[in-house]
Amino acid sequence: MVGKRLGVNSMLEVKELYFRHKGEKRDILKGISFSAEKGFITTILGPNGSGKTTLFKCISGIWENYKGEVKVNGISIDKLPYKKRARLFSVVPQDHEPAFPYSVFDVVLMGRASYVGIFSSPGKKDYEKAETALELVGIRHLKDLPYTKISGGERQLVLIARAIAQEAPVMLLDEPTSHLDFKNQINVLKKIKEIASLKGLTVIMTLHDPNLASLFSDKIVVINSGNKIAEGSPKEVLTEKLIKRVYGIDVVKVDINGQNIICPLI
Amino acid sequence: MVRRTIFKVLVLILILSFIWVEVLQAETFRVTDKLGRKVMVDVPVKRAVIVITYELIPALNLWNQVVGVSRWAEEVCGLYRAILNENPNFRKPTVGAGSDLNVEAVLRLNPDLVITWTYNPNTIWFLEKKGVKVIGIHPDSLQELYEVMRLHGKLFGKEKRVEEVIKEMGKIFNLIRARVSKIPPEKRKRVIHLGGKPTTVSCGIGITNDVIKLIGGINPASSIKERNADVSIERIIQWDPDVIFIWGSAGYDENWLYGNSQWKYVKAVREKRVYKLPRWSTWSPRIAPIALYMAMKVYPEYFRDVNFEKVADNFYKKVFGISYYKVKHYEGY
Amino acid sequence: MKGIKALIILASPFIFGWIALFLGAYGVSPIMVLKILLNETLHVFNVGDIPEKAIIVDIRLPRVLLAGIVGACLSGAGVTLQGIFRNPLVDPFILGISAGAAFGCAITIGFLSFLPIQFMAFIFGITAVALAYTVARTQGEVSRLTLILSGVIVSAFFTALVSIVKFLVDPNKLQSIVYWLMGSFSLADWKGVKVSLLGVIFGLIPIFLMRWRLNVMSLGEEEAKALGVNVSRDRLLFIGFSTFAVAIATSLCGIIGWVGLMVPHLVRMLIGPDHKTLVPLSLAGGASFMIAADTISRTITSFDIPVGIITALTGAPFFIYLMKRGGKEAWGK
Repeated sequence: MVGKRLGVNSMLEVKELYFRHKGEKRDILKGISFSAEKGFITTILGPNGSGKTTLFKCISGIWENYKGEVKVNGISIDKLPYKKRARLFSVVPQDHEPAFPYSVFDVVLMGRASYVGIFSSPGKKDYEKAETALELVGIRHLKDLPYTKISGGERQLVLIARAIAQEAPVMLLDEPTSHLDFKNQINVLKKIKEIASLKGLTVIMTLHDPNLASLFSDKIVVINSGNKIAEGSPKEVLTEKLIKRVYGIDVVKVDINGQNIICPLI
Repeated sequence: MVRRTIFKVLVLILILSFIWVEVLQAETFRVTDKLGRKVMVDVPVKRAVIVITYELIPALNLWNQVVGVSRWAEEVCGLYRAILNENPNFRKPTVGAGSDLNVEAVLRLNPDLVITWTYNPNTIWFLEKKGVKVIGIHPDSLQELYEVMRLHGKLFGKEKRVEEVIKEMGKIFNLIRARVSKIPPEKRKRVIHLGGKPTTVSCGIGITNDVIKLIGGINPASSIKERNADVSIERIIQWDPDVIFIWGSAGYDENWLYGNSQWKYVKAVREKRVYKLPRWSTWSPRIAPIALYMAMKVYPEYFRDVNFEKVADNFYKKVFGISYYKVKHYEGY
Repeated sequence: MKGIKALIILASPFIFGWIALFLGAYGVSPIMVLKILLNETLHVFNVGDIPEKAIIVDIRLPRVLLAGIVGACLSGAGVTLQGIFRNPLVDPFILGISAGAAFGCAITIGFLSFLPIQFMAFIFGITAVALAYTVARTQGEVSRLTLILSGVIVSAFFTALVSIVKFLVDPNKLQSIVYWLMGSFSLADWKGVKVSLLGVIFGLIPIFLMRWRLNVMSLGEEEAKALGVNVSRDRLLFIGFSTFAVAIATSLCGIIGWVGLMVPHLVRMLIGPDHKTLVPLSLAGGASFMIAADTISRTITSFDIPVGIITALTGAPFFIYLMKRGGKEAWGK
């Protein structure tokens, strides 16, 4: 991460994004602009209620009533049909309760939906890509288990494998660590970094923990109360002053082996 | 002295009260209806609503004692329509369909008694709760039909007239019996009666079954102890009836069976002996001419000298006071 | 193990159908059945023009085929709707399809008997769904809960309309409507089979081809969209195809409940939720269940028990057994 230059080859661009729910008077997002570079991991950081999730839903196309622009590779995603959109970016949602107990393989296979015609079923190629994705994420041994019977960390990895099977250049992850224990948080983020690097993906994820953001991102975009507070490398962005401003907590920044760690002052 | 007077007065009052009770009891009639309900009715009834047995109104001359009828009397019953045409002043308010009474309309007429069928018991309970006297009927045999008719006689003070009507019915039944009793058992025909659907047959319970027996027919469905049952066509082919009668109000007729390849192996269809009955109520004196109609279709050779329309006309005039031919016109034949 | 289960389910309609051809009210010896079938297909064993031939070829064969196809239609619609609404207890009637179809039939029998019943049932089945969809559509989006609620309202609306028709219609037609509503295969013929094939071609085959999509749809609207599925359009297609299948089925043999709810759920418990296998196995399961139920309904007593009673009586205990054994897992809860 050290030494990579930012500002080159913008893959995803968000311009003046405003969003409010229908019938509401207040904007949740108040004109946010930032960019995510190709091949880099960009983290959207902010406390609860900052508008992270709303921003995420607008970028991923789940919510469409926003004002402003979201462009991927120069193309506005606004009017894109779902199929095309899904080939541009994949979404890894937070862990959730599924309606039916599909097998892990079946879940990963669903990532191929944008390549399978409406009156068709997945073909040999699709099956192979699903297998490869499982291999890449290292969960091939879970292939035939019901999705509902594996641990939270494993489920998150399955969703990542599904996103890989989708073969989209941009991967969006919504709080990939929120339901996980310490061990799994680190494992999952390590995996994401490894895969992003291997496949040259552009990753955008939302996190609320500054340290995890610092350890695993190339770029951090800090938002609070619907506004962008900062954008840049972790070192640049995560200052004691910013943490105090956004989180209201006194911290001290510590440098260990070239890594920046934020320590709260109790 | 005073005490003895008081004593005499008390005895007088006592005797008078006994007489009073006697008089009361003589005018109140206790009926147990088809649902087992016990109903006390003051007879003769002066304001009745008749839902199903409206053909008894002309038969027993109940025009002055009936204040309402169901819609079906005017819409479905050609006999009733014909009589109304002759006597427009006989028209009565209608209180809804036989299967779905308009309770408000009934209550508005302030009836002494409602005589209806037990098809929808809820209506009966509902009316009862509103303080209306209801008698539910559902004659399932000829004997029961006679009882229902005699009940009407008793309720309306027309006992003598009922016996006259029953006598006329008896004449026709006797005619039938006399002819068919001559038929040896091996020559008896298998007869079935189809209802709302071509595969719904009249079974062991009901007036239809009794009539088939009376005309010397054998109802292969009588082993099923129901009023009606849905059977597979296979079963009908197995029974192989000689004659098939179709309910007068069914939505199909004999041509439907003749044109259907699934039925062609049934004897009655092969020999073109499928007949749709006239659209007459079977809960009425008209069951007698219906029986004659059926008998003549099943055993025509035993009734060659009988002119059906003349017998019917004679019956109609005696029972309903109107000509058969006039009614036939209203039934669209 | 799973593979064997799947094979059994897939083969079951043929096994049950085959057995059903040998059973019936008109006893036909097994050898004769075989001879007749071979005669029809391979033109060997000249059996001549005997009633047994009509029984097997004209009555039992179309009845078994129709039962199978109707069962598949109901079950196919059920599995589709359960997938779309992510709810294993959703049933084809919840969108008001059956009530709409019932109304179409009632109004045809009652007032428009010159029109083909199937057509009217289908028209109003589709109308009901379209109505439910329009009512639920608030801001260009349709939440599945709102859709279910509108379906219930539309269902109640059409049921009320059916009651009105029953009230207004004359008593003869009323019987036909009542019988049709009860659901039965006793009048199954080759014409019905041909009509039912429409349901297969324009209902079941599209659903079969789209079945993998149901996996993705069942993840929920947000995720399915993110995976590249045009959720609104695909949902419309699924609902349209399943409505068509149900309307055709209902118009041919009345209202038969339970199959569309039960069979997909049972198959899911036995085989798993992957629609690639679940859909074809639900079709097969629905077909064999219906064939079995109809065969029982026409062989157990001398008359036909309404098939809806059989489906309920056999379906419910089996369902309870499976639920107790391991139902929770099948729900993914």
